[in-house]
Amino acid sequence: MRPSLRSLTDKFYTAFAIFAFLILIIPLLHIILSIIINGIKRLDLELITSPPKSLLGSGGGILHAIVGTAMVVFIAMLISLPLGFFVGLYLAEFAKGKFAHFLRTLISVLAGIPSIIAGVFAYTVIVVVYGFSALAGGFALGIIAIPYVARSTEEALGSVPMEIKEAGFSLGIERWKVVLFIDVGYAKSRIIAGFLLALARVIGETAPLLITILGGINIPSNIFSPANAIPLVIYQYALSPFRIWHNIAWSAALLLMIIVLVINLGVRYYLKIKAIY
Amino acid sequence: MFVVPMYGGTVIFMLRFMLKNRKFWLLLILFTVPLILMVSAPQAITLVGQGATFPEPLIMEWIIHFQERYGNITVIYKGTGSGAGVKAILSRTVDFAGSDAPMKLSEWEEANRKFGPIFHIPETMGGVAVVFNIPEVEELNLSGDVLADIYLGRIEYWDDPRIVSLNPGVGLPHERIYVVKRADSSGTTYIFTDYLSHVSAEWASTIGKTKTFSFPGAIRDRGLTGYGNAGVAQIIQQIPYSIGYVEFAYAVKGELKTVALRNKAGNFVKPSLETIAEAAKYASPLPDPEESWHNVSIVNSPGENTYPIVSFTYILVYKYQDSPEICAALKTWLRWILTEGQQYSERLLYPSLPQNIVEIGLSAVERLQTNISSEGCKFQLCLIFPLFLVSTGIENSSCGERIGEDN
Repeated sequence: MRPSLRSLTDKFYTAFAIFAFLILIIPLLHIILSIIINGIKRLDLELITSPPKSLLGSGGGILHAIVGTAMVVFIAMLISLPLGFFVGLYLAEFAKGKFAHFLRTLISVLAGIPSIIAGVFAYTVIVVVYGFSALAGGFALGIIAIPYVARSTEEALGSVPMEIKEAGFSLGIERWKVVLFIDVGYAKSRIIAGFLLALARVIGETAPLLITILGGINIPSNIFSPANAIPLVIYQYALSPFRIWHNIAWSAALLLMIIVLVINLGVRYYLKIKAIY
Repeated sequence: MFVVPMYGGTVIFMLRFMLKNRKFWLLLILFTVPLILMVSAPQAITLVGQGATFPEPLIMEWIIHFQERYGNITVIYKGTGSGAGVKAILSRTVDFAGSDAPMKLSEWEEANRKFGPIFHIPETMGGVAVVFNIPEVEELNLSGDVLADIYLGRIEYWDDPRIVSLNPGVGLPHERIYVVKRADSSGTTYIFTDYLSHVSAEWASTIGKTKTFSFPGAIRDRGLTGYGNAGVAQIIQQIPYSIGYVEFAYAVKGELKTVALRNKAGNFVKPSLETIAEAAKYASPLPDPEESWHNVSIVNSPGENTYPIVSFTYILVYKYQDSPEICAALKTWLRWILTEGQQYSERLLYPSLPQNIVEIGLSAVERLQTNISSEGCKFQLCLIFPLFLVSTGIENSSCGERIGEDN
């Protein structure tokens, strides 16, 4: 039988969808493969255990940047977790009507501002007064993470079934206790997953760190001293004329990719064993 | 008044819940212990600098060796661009800055008014290599005016009579010249245009010396732009019949063909560590450290074997320092890079400074002093801590000698 026009159209759209998918996946695979191929060479113990060494030798590692990134992300979490969590909690459980709508729009706007703006804000608030520091970088990343944490918390709490809340209310428990112990308890794993995804979102940020933490080759010990971060090292080394640095930059990119991948896969696995999805 | 017991009860409930909950304690410890450690960790005397990206690899190398020797001084330098370095000096967010170009007169005067004189201390030199990609040709001679006319769009083909006359016997192809420049504002462009302004009156009157320029209309579709030295080098490698300019190290590491330029003495000279360093030897006398250096330029210097597109790259420091510790550490650091540090330069493809320039730098370093005058302090600590001004009202005392040496 001759294929009908309907099935032809159907085939055409299927082919188009596959084509669009390929367009998307090819550059992605290219990026991932070239990072792996070029990065595997220097992905050794020295990379993660040594600060930079002389360019006339091996070039050392990026321990200073790993510690710096950990420090900056830690500060960002300290700022964004409580704030974002309570904003999300408020939006999900207490906010009503036009004001809630307004707040949600505001959060979306905050999520949409370019990350460099958060960097400039941290620059004017902290750097100009106290100097370049890990604290300023963490502050900038914290601002970027707040809307993500707030939104994921709100979504997680929104998924709590009404019956469970009602069960709480029927026992005569006060509202805040229901929210804090029953709702949050129920949605706990999803909220934590949201935290981790927000962390993965900010760990690769470069622009706000460029103007806040400055850099340097020292392993930061204090949040008031300048620090370096993995994305900054990649940026600096990749644009230099030296091959040794190019190789370290590739390996640092691979390392960063692995960290983000581990967080993302970890979240999936965590949610799976908690049987949420 | 029943609000108070209600909230009181809530707080007591929360506290009881927290104190009993083991997970809460775990979380608390997990977050507060590192925070306390990170806030209370001792800080070494830290010199903070930012600015030119060109000397960044060399400064990093210096920091590695300097910190091995002087354990209690930490130096931090970040390449953010010469413009950012000057801005940092003007906003006093750094202890020193790097810049490939001297501060403009207006910038220098503003800084002088706010903080006192800014010293320009040359720490190394940069040569800009003119690089080309003609598959058939290995060696190419150009003169300054021909190079300027290529960048002005006057010369369109590689076999233009003016290029041929400089390269007798070279089989130049009849191909259009693709002209490459930097997309971003850069010190490299500044040195390059400074040179073109010296050798071409038309360039000086139309474009002049600048960190960024747009191609003249005559170049039309033959103009390409690359981001950073690495970007320009990549374009030159990929596009045949192109010409561009990059820092010397990028030409060497990218294995690009470099143009031999006709210098002031009439010789064709290729860039190399020796020919770049020659420029400083024959440079006209430099101004006093306490004056503005905006006119300093060592492009197109005399000398038989001098490469013409060369510039100093400077470390900018405040003459008047707020803190005696920082001042002493800064002196130690600057003295070290001008003397012992110079031995690392050539292996990283930076020329080491000739002795006459080293001495000029050292004499400026000796003039650094602490000065907590109200004028110098207005924009710094005293704004936040007025007591600081009263308790340490020192006037113009020269700061300490070498500190922190490990013996």
